[in-house]
Amino acid sequence: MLIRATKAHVLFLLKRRSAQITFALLFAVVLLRFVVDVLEFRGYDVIAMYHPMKLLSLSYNHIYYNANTVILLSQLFPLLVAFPAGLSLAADQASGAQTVLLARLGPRRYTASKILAVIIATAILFTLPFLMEMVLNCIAFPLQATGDMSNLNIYDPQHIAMTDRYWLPELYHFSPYLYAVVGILRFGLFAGLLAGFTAALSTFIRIKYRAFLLLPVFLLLFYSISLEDVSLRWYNYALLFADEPKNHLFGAGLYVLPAVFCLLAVLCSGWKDYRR
Amino acid sequence: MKRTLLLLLAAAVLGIWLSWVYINPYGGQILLSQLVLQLSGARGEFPLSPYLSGLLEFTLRLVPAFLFQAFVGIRLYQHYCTASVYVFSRIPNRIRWYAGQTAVIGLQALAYQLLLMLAALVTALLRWQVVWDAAGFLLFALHTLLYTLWLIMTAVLVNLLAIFQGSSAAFAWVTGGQLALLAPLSLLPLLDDAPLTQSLLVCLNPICRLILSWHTGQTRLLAPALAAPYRGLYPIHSVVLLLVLCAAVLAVGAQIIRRHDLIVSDMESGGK
Amino acid sequence: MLLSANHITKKIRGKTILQDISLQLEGGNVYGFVGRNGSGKTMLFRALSGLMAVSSGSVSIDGQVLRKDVSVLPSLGIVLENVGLYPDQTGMENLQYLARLRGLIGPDDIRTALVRVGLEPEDKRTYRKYSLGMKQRLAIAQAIMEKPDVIMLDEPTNGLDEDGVQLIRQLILEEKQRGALILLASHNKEDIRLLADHLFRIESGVISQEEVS
Repeated sequence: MLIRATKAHVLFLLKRRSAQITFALLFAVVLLRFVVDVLEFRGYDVIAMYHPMKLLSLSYNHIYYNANTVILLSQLFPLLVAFPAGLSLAADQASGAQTVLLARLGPRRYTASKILAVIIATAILFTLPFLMEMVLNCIAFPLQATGDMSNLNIYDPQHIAMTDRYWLPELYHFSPYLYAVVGILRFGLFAGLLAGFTAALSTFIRIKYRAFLLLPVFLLLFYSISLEDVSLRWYNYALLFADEPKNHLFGAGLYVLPAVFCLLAVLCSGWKDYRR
Repeated sequence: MKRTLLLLLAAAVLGIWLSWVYINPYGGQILLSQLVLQLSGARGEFPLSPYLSGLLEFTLRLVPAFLFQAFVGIRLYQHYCTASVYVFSRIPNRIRWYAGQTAVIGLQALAYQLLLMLAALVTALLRWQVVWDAAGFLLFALHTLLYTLWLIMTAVLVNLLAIFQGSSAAFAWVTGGQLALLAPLSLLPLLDDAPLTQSLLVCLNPICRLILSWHTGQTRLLAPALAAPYRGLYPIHSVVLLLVLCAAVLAVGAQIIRRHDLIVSDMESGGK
Repeated sequence: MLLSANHITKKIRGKTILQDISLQLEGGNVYGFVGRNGSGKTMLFRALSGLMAVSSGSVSIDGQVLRKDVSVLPSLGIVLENVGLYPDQTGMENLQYLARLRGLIGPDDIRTALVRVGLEPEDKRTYRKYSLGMKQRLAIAQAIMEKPDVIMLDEPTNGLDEDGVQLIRQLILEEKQRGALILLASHNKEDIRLLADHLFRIESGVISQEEVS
């Protein structure tokens, strides 16, 4: 029943207007990036051309050239991530629908299926537009191009040192395309886990105005950016081709901690009273 | 009252945080004018850079504004949520009520911004040596005024949108809108060969009005203090523009409050 | 089917909400609950459904203890105060979503439930635009559509017009005929007189049985 309930929740969440708006927004950013790149690199020789995967919206490599999409995404991400689905549990509480859902599923199954659905739905919304962009880039740009936006030669020791700092550098060296796919899925998972964290938080704190629920993830991610230590910035562990130094413990924590928090919310849900 | 006190406490804490993180002068001494400029994105003596790191850092300086928008963004909206029919059936003149509420928002914005700036200044005074310069006082007042107007405009906007969409959507739209305004600024370095376009981008983008270090000082006092890397941004224009935008939002808000039918109201529970 | 409450007590912040309540409730009966506002009727329903834990005692269904062997009643339809549905979905869409959670019924059963409560299955209006009476009817529809073994109805005729009241009374009798165990809380004396086989009065959390007059 957990799988059936989760599936029902996922379909429900994906049909909501907030999900459609989020998808439209992300797809618009992706399309804008694509169109700008096509117009800019029209007529470029393949030798001078950048690698199609380095042109993706999620590519941190843009900081060497034209970073407006990366900036836009890294600014909007902390706000957008909880918006489509992360507030749904709080919405259930506010509307009173939670009682009829609890009556059908029981507290643990309801909480587990809901949080899982939030993670899956958000992951889908934050993966699909970028996978579509990947397909578009593969069609529009030469697959043999190998350029990097730092304009370093790919055999330059500095460039090699840079790529060695990528997440899963061996995968990148094996196939940048496979690296991009896995990286996009990782990005989606990260978004999903943060949305799940927001949903899990709403099981512990009941807030009338859901705007406040957007704040924890928003503030935590922006706090991470404010830190002097570059290895503690969240986008290093979410974006593609991020060549900043890595703190692997911190990186793992970004994924593990929200997951653990979600699990805790599910466990605690069985002990709560649902009086309202 | 309790909420206002919490808001002011948050302003003080955030002011201390901003000062701690961003006011770290090399040599231990800083001009008041430089201190104020750094609170709006400058780095040392250099104006805000339009690259990824600079723009992200500027966003962090806007976090106190975002928090204000979240907390004050429900001031009008809460009356629609809680007991709208009971409230508005007792208020024959909604415009007068709206004027009173927005006046309070204005005062809260001014107090918030002023306290934030003072907390930042006091923190800097305790840590470093602050050199008082006349331009610094002028910039302090200008910074406070511009950011106060911005806070009023955005907080009222959140309230108005929330009446139709709920608080979370309203906050997301207004905050997202501000963040989206920052992204095109990364194109500025690419427009160095097209100064007119560069100037247009800066002048037409309202968020640039909050970046003091990009302004051009027209007086003898301000001219040396402002680096003016981009043409077209003048303090007086910024004040007027933000005043006009603020007035426009307030005027539209008055119409909405006057005409909005109380058929569905509590958007937090889906509209009852 | 037997729903038992064994000496259940519930305290919230030192205040006793339910006091030493014992009940043996069998399927195929309508149990009426009356009492003043704030006497504990809704809290009792929440405790009997498993939505709320009890401070002492236990609630069991066919020998299975709630919140221990099972978290909530396995087959339950409930209508409580302040319960709403999704405002931007139509009535049909709301019920379809709820039905998909357990996968026990199909669209035809949902349509039947809507018609039984006097609502139009093809109505394109969203829940937000429903009147109070329509919302109440939809709440009852979601409670009965999966033909649950236990149905808890807290003031089901609230906000209904005369035809609606008759419709819901008929519906309750039909569900009783089906063998469901029905718990009915109501301030409406006619509802109790016409529907209840057994009557309980709750006063400040203490329950006593009365004759149905």
